[in-house]
Amino acid sequence: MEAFVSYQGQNDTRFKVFDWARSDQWQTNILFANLTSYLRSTVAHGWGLQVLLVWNSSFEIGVNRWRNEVLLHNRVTNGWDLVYRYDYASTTAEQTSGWPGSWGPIVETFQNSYQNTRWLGFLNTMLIARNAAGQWGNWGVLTASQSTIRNHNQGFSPLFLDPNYSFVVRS
Amino acid sequence: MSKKRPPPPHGGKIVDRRAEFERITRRSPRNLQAERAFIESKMRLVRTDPNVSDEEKQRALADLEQKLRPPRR
Repeated sequence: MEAFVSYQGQNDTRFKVFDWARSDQWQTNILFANLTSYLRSTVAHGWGLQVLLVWNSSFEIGVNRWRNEVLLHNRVTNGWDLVYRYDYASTTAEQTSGWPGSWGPIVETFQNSYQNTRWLGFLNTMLIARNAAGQWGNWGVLTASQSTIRNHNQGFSPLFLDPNYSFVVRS
Repeated sequence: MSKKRPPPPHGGKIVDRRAEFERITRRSPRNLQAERAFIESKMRLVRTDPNVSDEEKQRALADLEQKLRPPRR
């Protein structure tokens, strides 16, 4: 499942959910104008940034039953709002075999070259996992063993990078 | 095995706002061109992944195409 911000041009910015577990994958589609309770300002490396706190997860809820969820952090209530959920049948083997893809921060590109875009990126990306006994570990920022950097050389350069959990790029 | 979600990062209560987000989504026009570009990008990501063998890429692309086939009406 992917929970992400989608940009087209300078003014059409939305929060979307694409759920790989279902056949009608396109789900949540919210213009930023409707997210005022969720958008906030922060400073990183001296740069002022607008951020959206997103929590997405896939976890087993029963025998061969899995749940995908997306939550956004509400700036006004200082709590998390559940905005999407989908329960489905799947096995552990299906969840972990084949090409599971990857999870993590990505500035995904849709043309060969970019210039003069606003800053894009991620801050403090964290991961939590459950062990075979069903016990959740602790939240922690991504480590070197959990992430790799891919640069497709399409006009972006780093504004800053904190390996392996934060980066902002510009073009 | 615990069937619950993990504890919230940074703490705080959880409130169910799914109905509100579903309502707003229904009012939001879809951009089919952007959606198609998103799918094609996934194919490109697989083809150019340096950590995946050619055989794995072929399997992954076939799997992607199957998953991304439009649902039957």
